Amino acid sequence: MTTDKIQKVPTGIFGFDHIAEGGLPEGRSTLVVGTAGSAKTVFAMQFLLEGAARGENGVFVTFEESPADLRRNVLGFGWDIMRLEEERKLCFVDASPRPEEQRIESGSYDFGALVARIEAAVKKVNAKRISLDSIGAVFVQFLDQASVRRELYRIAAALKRMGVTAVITSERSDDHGPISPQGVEEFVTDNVIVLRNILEDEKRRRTIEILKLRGTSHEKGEYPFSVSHKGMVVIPLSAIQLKQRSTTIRITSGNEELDKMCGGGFFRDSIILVSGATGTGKTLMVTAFTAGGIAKGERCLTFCFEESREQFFRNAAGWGFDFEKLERDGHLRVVTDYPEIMPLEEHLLRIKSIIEEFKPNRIAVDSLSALERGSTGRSFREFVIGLTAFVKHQEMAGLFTATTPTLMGGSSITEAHISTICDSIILLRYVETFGEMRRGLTVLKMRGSPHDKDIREFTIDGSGMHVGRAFRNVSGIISGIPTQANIPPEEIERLRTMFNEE
Amino acid sequence: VSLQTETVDFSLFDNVKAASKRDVSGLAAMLRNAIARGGDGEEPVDPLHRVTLVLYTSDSLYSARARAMLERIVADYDPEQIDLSFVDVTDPMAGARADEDGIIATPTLVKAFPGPKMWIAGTLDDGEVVRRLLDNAGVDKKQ
Repeated sequence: MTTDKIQKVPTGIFGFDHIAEGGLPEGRSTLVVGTAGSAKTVFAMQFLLEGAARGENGVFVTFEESPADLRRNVLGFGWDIMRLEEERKLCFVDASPRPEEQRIESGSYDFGALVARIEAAVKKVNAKRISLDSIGAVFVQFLDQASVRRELYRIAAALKRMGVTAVITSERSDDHGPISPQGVEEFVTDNVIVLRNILEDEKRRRTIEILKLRGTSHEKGEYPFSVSHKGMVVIPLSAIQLKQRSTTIRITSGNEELDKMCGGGFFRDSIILVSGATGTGKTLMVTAFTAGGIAKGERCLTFCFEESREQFFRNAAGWGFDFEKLERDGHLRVVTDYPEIMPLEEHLLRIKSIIEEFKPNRIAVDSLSALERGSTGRSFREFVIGLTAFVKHQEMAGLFTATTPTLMGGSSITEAHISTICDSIILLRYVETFGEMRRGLTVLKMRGSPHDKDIREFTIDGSGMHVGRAFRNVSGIISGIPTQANIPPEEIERLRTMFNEE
Repeated sequence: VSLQTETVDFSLFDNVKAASKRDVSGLAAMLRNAIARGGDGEEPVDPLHRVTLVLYTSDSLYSARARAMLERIVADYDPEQIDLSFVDVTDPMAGARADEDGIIATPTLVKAFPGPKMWIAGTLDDGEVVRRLLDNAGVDKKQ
């Protein structure tokens, strides 16, 4: 229809520009609505800071907080507004209420003064971007609501005339109600973004949704976001394209026998899920995976959400690995956290930032189930997708563990969420044979490679883990109900001696 | 509670008592003016001035109406006692004053002195508001 395609300007909000397919439409106004505390001001400010960094200066028109409060509030994100003002990259138009002043209305008025002040500010810093925060507050300052609506329409028109890209925020009372109580969307109809701060299972969950960006395409639906120490960060999840290259390079699992079962080792950029009941050897697998990588000169990053550092180190030492020394030498980084200390979105951001900083070749997370404990199903699913996509994108190997709720077999919810995303799944199970508890291991899935399909004996001793021979004539191991049927006496004899290796 | 009363600074009461002996209304006015002045409040340069008024205008019809109305009202009072100025917000040189006063609407009449600062937005259709303001500030009517 039209040949002049709408250009987009990046907001600098990580992840948002991805779902907005470039950013906000250039030269247009975008309405950002949300309830109190939904990070509207952060959005509006971050948009201007990104502009300032790109040489597109900005004007912040504040109707709610005073410039002094704003400067102070965003210091926590490391944003030095004062410096930008001195460099004439940003300036405020203060339209915030002054409670110490008395206000009276008598007769008709327009917003000529505000328009003139905005125009002067835009001219002063040669602004390309402008934020108005939050427009609903103007309705509180003036009695004549019809005039305010008419005058805001005039401001929107003035912004268009000036050719600036604008973010106009508006507060609403309900996360799922009408877009704004005053019908502000009527005059900024082109582009609408909704920020939500929803209470779900006693947990706050922030999401962002692009309702419309007229004339341009964008990702649809709600995306979780977090307000971190660097400002707003959107987690684009499903918008992450599955464009990771796959490699045929194999890496060691840390165990020679397991490598053989997997057809020569894990793939370098694959996600491996190790699932088993408590005590089946998941943490040992993590330890072996970590130590095996380091032995090959790789850098390893391990997250422990179930044990303390000391416990993890002590266990590793028991199997002959000096993790303390490896960490001192910079080959290893072990991060231990209580899963409950922060919401999953923040865990994800933290994991990402540690990965970016440490640049490991492989990462292990022990266990995903611990993280799942304190979260809602939905946010956990998003976390897993976000984490696996990120790990693959970095072309790292990731080994995640999941704890099954029952000792004998069964599957965990963690598995349900993650199994399709994982490239390999290794099951660890208890096997009861003739009055003895043994451990079994099987490679259930190994994407893109032939693998051993046996259920093998898995033993743990002072030197670590060992994968032995296959269980024969025992069925139902994985389901947790092992039964021996029609076993000829010689087989019973074979089974009895099967585990007496060498 | 009794512990707290013991720690009250009694010098505070002394000050209030001393002031109330002199003139309570005088103290209130003093405080009001001090608050209104803040750091850079507009105290009249001319000691004769009893009130400082600023009318912010644009090139709109509303602004013209407000200005005419204000001039008509002021004409009844002693011009010596009124410090009246007009600021055209569309004039880039004058824009800084609108910023300082945080003006959104035009026309807006600002009473900068005596405190507290007061805004009257609109065409001043109700002239009584302005008259009361001048009377309260102690501006004398023309003889």
